[in-house]
Amino acid sequence: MNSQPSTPDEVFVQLLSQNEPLIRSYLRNLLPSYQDVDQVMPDVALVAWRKFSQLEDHDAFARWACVIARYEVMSYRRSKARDRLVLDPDVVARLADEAEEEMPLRRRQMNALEHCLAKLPPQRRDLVLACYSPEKSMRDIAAEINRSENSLYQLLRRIRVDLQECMEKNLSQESLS
Amino acid sequence: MNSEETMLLWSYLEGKIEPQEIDALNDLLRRSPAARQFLIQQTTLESQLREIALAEANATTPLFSPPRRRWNVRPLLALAAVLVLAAWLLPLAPFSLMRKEPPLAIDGPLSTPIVTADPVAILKAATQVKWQKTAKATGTPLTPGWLKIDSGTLHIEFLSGARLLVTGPAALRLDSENSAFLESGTASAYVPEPAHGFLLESPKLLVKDLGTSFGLKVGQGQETEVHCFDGSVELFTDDQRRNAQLLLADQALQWRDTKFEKVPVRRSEFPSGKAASLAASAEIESRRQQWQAFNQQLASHPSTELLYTFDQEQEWSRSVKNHAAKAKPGTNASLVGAAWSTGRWMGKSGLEFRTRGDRLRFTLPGSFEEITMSAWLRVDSLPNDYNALLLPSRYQRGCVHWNIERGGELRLTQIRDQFPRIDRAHWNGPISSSGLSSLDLGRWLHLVTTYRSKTGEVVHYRDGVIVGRGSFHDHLPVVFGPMEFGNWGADGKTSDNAWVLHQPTNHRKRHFVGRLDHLLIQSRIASPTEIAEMYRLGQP
Repeated sequence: MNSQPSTPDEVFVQLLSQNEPLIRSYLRNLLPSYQDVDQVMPDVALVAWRKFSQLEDHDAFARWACVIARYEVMSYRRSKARDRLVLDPDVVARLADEAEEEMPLRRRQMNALEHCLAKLPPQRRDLVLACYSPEKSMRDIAAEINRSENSLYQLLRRIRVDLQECMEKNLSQESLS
Repeated sequence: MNSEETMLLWSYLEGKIEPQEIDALNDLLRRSPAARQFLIQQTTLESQLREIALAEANATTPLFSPPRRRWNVRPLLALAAVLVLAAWLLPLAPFSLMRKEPPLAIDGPLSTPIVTADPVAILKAATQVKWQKTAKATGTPLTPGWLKIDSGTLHIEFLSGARLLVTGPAALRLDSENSAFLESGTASAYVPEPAHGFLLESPKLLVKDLGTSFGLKVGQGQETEVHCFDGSVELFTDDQRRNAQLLLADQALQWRDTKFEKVPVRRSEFPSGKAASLAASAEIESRRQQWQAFNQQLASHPSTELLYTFDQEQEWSRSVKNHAAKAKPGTNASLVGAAWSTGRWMGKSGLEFRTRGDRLRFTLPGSFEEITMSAWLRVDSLPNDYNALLLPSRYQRGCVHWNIERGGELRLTQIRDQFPRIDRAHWNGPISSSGLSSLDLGRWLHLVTTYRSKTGEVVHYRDGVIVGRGSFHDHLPVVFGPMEFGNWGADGKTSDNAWVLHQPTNHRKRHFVGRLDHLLIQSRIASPTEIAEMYRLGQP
């Protein structure tokens, strides 16, 4: 069960699995919603699979996949341009550059986030995860905790800002030590 | 960024932005590095939160069902073969690698505890009480609202410190931690210094305490009497509370029609703490006898494998006797850490579990097609993601985990394999109940779970009522072996439980915090009626 993957397909699937969260967060940086991420991700995976034989350094998989992701976002954007709720191409390009620069930080950020989530009061932690779980809509959760949807969004903003602050503090301490 | 700009970014992040706002957003992102930074940070945070939420959700995904991502099927067809293969070949779930610890906790994700209204008082005792509607158990925290009794005496302690004894028939509404409304009935109030200013209202009069004990009697026709036993009280007859009438110790007034009339003080007509406590001890004695008789029945029942009543144990004793008539040798339990303390009522002993090391150890041999596990316990807090009721110290096929989750859900899981792993496929369940409310913390509860291997059905009961049910995938008999109540003795040092070391730290820490004063395991299914009766007989 623990044997090393050998065929190129197996290697690819493993690399994709390992890097999928990174690719998804990069896509989310550039796209208006997570539904859009769900739409684009399979295309990124498919293109990456087709071109996988061209990738020499497997350690560079994430960065390579993000180049593909950037292309796919642009073409998805063009197909969506009519609904006007998308960012302009030059803005997406700037976001893409800046997000790519930050990529090496993501794993440490994830660790910091887990640390900060654990420091939240358990109810808050569970609430924030419930809001992002695939199972429930914000409306359902608002109803469950007897709040209006609007006030749930407000609460979530506060928690997100708190988490972000905590992560930054955590990461800056980490770089000092 | 100013607040308007921040709002614009949040609207975009939450998918609520309007088409006419898009140009402003593009401009903002073009000129402001801070805005771009904010957007990147928040979108990254969002996707990382989704990853964690998804990993936790997938940890409870039933066997063989796909991970809950919404993939678009069409472009994936070409990949499908590879992915299906990969799901079998790769030992690691695709989303787990960015986490420091394996997210696949076999005991699953946690729900949000229910938060209810804050309590304003505690029911200290209910002596010979006939309730009009639902009975409330001693020790129950009371939230604002009505208490109605036909007879008997309630002893209520407000959070302010004021104590109220109310004799029925009575209707009392708790309003705050230092005020109440007596619609009818007879009440005595004892108000210590910190609670001065305690207000007891009746339909005709408002009594404000000025440091005292006093009685208030409201008859069916709303004729009202106030008797001041000690100190002084102020009486108001109008809503505006302008015209105060002062009443001193050993004075009593009756409000009739529209004026006060002096009447003699008659202490004996009001409930006193002493009389109530005498009545209470008589009641406790009769309940104790009932409870003992019931335990004798349990002990002699052929299906009773384990019965710890915690009675008649010596204070210094570190072992607990299994009272089952057919108790197998070695089924007496030993105490580690846990201290003897008071159980459900005065004179009933129980165990207190407080620190990380506290536990009750026993071994129960055999394999059971049907089981009923019952515990009378008081949960004082739920400090861990999973708080142990019964957990195995050694693992074998058929072992069960009986936990309370952080959100108060009772849950049962069972190991399907000889050697368990942190992988859902190796486990049956979880089957969970609805959660406790915050008001259930600190009061005595009766928790029961039954399991029938023939059908795989698990049923959870709380206080005699079904609070959850479901079925295990495999229909295996249950085995116990070396077990612990209140802790998890699996130390990862033997091959059967080495997997425990791969559990995240927050899942390994499982000590129970609270008290236990009755534990029963029977090798049969107790019926809902029997379980309701068990609760009725045992409720404090």
